[in-house]
Amino acid sequence: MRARKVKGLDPAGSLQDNARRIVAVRAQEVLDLGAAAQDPFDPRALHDLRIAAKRLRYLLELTGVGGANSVKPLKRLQDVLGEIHDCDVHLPAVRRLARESPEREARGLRTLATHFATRRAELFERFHQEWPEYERTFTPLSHAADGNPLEVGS
Amino acid sequence: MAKARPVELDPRMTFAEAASVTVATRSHELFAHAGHVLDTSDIERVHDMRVASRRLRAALEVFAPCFNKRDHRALLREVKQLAGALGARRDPDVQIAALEELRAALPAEDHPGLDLLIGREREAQAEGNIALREALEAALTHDLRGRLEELARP
Repeated sequence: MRARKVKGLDPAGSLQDNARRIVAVRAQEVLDLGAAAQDPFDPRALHDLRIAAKRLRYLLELTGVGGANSVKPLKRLQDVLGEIHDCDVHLPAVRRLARESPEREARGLRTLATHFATRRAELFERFHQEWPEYERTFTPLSHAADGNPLEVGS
Repeated sequence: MAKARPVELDPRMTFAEAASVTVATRSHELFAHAGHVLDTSDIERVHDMRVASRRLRAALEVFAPCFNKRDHRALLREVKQLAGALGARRDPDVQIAALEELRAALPAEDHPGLDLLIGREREAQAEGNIALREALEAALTHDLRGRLEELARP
């Protein structure tokens, strides 16, 4: 997924002003993609949100905008989305291998497929329930360019 | 996971000054983790270098407007290739560890299926190690480190 373009960046301008502009765009990206990722059967939307969350996290770590408290929820979000993604990658492969394998191997592979499917459902439910809290956390960052008092510098 | 080296940033710095300091620090960090990454008996080394490559990539993306476009594009592409090779080695490492843990919790009847999958992941790990060796050699041949230092020079 390509990141949205950030307009008005100026190498001769201050780190603070430029960082705030980028954070505002990246935080809005996370909010928009998160709102679009509430369908459990749309792995693409969840994947796009995971990438956007990763970009925002590294950006906040790099610039210090928002302080350390804004990084922790992003890490938590990334962890849950990362594990969902792992299930989405491995589940079809394990099911296919189970169909192609003799019963001796197929049994354990079916068990593993059930494990991935159950885990994926639990993780999505957690993400879905917690999303409004994430929204509240990231919304101030999406207004970073407005000049709110946000911490800059690491 | 290795903690990121602190980057001495000051909100009053220009964006270009912050770009120089950050890319220099993150480049140094990447190559500081290069030792023994091909050792499959210590999977944390490749993890640390992969995380360092992500941090450098993020810095290059955030500070893109501060650099010569052509040089920046080429270096970002090479850092992404190296990050890709690190991921190709790291992903099977993680899978093998997770599958072995799961195997220990399952009844013996399920073990042949998991053993089949663990065997495949070991093959992917060996292939990933070859790809990583080639990527490290390419980084050396094309003096990726020196060119990143040159890019970061104010």
